[in-house]
Amino acid sequence: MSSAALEAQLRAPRRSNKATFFWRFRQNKLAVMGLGIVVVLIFVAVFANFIAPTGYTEAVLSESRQFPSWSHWFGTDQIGRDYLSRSLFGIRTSIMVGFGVQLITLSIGFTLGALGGYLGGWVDMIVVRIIEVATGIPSLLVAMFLMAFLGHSTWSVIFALGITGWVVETRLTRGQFIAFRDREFVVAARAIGASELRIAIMHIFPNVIPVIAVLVAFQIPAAIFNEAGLSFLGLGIDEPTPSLGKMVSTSLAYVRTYWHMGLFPSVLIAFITLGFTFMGDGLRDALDPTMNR
Amino acid sequence: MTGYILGRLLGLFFSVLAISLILFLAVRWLPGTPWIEGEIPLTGSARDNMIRKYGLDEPVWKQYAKYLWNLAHLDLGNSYIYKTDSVWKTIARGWPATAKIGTITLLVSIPLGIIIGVAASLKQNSIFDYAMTLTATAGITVPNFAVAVWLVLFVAIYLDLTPTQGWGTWQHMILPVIAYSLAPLGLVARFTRVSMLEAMRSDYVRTARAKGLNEPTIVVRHIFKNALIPIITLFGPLLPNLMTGSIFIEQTFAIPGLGRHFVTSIFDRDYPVILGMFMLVAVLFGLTYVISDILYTWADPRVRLTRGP
Repeated sequence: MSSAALEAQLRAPRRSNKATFFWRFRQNKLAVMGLGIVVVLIFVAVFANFIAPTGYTEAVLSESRQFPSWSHWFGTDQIGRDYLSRSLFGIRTSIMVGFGVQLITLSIGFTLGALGGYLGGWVDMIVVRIIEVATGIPSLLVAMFLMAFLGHSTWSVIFALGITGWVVETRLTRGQFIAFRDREFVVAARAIGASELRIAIMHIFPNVIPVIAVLVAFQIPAAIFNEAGLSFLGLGIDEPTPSLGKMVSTSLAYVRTYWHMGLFPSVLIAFITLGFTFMGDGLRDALDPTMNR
Repeated sequence: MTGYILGRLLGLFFSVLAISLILFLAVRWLPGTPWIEGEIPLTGSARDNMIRKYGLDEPVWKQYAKYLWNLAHLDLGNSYIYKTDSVWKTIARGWPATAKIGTITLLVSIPLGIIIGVAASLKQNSIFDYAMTLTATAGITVPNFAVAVWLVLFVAIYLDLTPTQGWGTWQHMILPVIAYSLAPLGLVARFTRVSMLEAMRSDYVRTARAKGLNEPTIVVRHIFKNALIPIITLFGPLLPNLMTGSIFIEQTFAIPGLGRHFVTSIFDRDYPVILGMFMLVAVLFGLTYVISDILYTWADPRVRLTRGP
């Protein structure tokens, strides 16, 4: 630890765990910025239909491929749809996918990992085998493969990425449950006759939440990245639903002249993924400053 | 040691077997074949003939057994779409471009990443250190196709220094390699930095300092040597990823590589090619993991060889 960081920590008044966590998080400017970006993005995603100047399907052919102007801040696309509106609704798609995929991967990964890590024995054997096999399968490729059958709606992308992306969640949850399984407070709870289910839910689960939360903060941008990637390849979300990845790939055909079509969605994707990652970095460091650097 | 390697290879064998079974069943049970939904849908007896020709009318277990038998003979079957081509030939068509880009990216990103990481760790908490950590995080996080678009817009079109896309001359490779290098570069740099910082704080470095060794000797002989060992673990996931190609990069720059073949085979529902590529990637992933684990124990004798995650 550097002297500056050490000093900062020494000067910090004694606080409860929670207060220390928030204090540490606030100290990290990048993390606060990330949180700010995430809050704005979620706001945009929820209220896109109120913020956006037009709907995402409204096309005015006579105004196609316009450069950014006061009437169209981001310009228009190849069939004259307002690019700002498309981008805002694209953010909604990204956020939906980011959170939706996490819902699925956590349900699968947490259940599997908790079962294996807590019960041990043959159950764990099976879980470990599942993890081993699943690690060998490149999940994004399987998701691409699945998309060929699922159709190209937002929901099918969420399903395809969710059903293939739970390995990290499983491994982490399993590790956490193993780490807590034999701790004193668990043994104590068992000694006074708490049922196994009660121990798992009431005693271990709360301790696992922080680590899972950090993972989620990193997995959400990963899912958004993957959705943008799938749509970029034409294997993701189809028109007219806006997807930032799809907008980038469409722009490639016009890249020589209409720079705005590629620039805005790609910058937005970068913003989204960076915002979540900075927030995740901050969460992780605030939870356990010794974990990194 | 030999026992350990054999055990790992056996584990890999069963993993690949399980993967092949899952994917084979998925391919067979999911709806659609290239002759039903292709550009020219076949109907009636023409379709039945095709299905019979490729043995799709047989029971699934029999088809799978046949596939395994052929797999054991390193025969991945024939492409449904390019009927005269074996799957190997399809893979061989895309491999050179992917391998070329992958190798150059590897040669650029790993040494450069190590250098940057070491420099940042030696100047910990300096502006350079913060800038490097930030850039590395951005390199890992921002999708490479977004970076690729920025490169095309700025370098290829605004500055007009390189071609926007295509394949053939060395100029064509500049932008793909840059866009492709950023993520592994950031990963290696960040990893090296943390690893270096850990080594710097270790007892043996304090001892070396206490007995009066000069600083360059400490950095090179004591810190550097020990800090670089964990980087071997990065090769596991990095190498097969790079060698099988970034599909996005190949798509953006219109590079005729493996990744593009994979995407077209999905669009065409060319199942033998899809399965074959999956098998290839699975084996490649598994092998590099085993090799990097073995290398790791060789480089760091403190690590014991045990099985299981």
